[in-house]
Amino acid sequence: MGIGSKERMDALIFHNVNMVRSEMRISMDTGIFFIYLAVMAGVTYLLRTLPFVLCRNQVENTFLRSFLTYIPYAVLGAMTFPAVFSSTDSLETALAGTFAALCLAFFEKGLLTVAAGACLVAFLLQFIERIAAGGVF
Amino acid sequence: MKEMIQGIRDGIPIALGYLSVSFTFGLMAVESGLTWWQAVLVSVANVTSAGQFAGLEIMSAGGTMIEMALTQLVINMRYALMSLSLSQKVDQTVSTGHRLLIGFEVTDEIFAVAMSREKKVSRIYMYGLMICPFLGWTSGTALGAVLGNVLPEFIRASLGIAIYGMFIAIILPKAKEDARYLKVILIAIFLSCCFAWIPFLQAVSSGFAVIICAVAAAGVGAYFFPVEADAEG
Repeated sequence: MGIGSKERMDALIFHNVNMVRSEMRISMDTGIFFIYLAVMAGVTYLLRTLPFVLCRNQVENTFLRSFLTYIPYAVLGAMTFPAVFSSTDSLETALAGTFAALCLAFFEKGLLTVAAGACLVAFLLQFIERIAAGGVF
Repeated sequence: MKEMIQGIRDGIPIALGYLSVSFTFGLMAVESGLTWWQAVLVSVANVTSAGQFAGLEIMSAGGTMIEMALTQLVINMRYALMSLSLSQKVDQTVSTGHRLLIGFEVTDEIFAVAMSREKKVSRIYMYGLMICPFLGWTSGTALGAVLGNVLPEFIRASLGIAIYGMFIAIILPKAKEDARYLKVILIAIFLSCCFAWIPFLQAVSSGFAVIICAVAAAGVGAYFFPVEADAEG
């Protein structure tokens, strides 16, 4: 089993369970849906807004300021690796796409170029794999 | 006006990345028993990927409201950190009223792009930056909900890497330019791999794992390589 196979299995099981559910046509009560929605959106909104509204002054403390400067990059690093390796159909296509993204980003191409390049390389390799396996669909 | 256009331009790649992710969300929401307008409403009200997917799972499993609240709290706690960071990055034009509006759409990508700007950001820039991603996220959800099964799976699969490509485009140039950032990013990645691959750590939810990794890495960075006030990037 490849990298990220656990997440994929979970996603697959989740997907299949839900396929069965929708076939059984269990639809959610509209009232309950709105309560779920309010709880979900409310918690998310408060998390996003409270620190933003409450923190009005520049942070003077060097440690805290440095911490806040590093946070975005640390978050993105942790979110990208190793999740990117299981972001496509197979490890090979994901690795190829990641490699393309790293090369493009190294030469400081724009966000869109890097994202599109990664997709294109992953897609082409996947396309070739499908053809080699005997058929695209 | 120039700032607005710059913001909109910076938002386009985010919007394109969102299209594929929200398309998947729309598709799964309908398969879970939501109607298409309910799926779109969830996207309009939340504008967050991991939180929405987890929320969908709780809805379709008939989970409790407390479970819903706690799950959102854990997965989206990183936004509190980002908002705190962002409060240091916006200029004085961003008053409380505007913070209440802009705060609504603090996503990983919008935050990262705003933080990667050289100077402080104004509210005009922030609104410009928010427009396209919001439209991309909501329209992608609608498209996925309505015609999700039409698009062949092999095309959808390769779209999933788009968002990570964007992240790489943000962190790699910074890491290349400044070794301190490189070290912080590598620590975060190392920890993140531990959470993904070490069996007993895998039990930690992905949202919570990101918080732990980022806080630890940024903490180590702040302690060993402090950033001077005017040298802030």
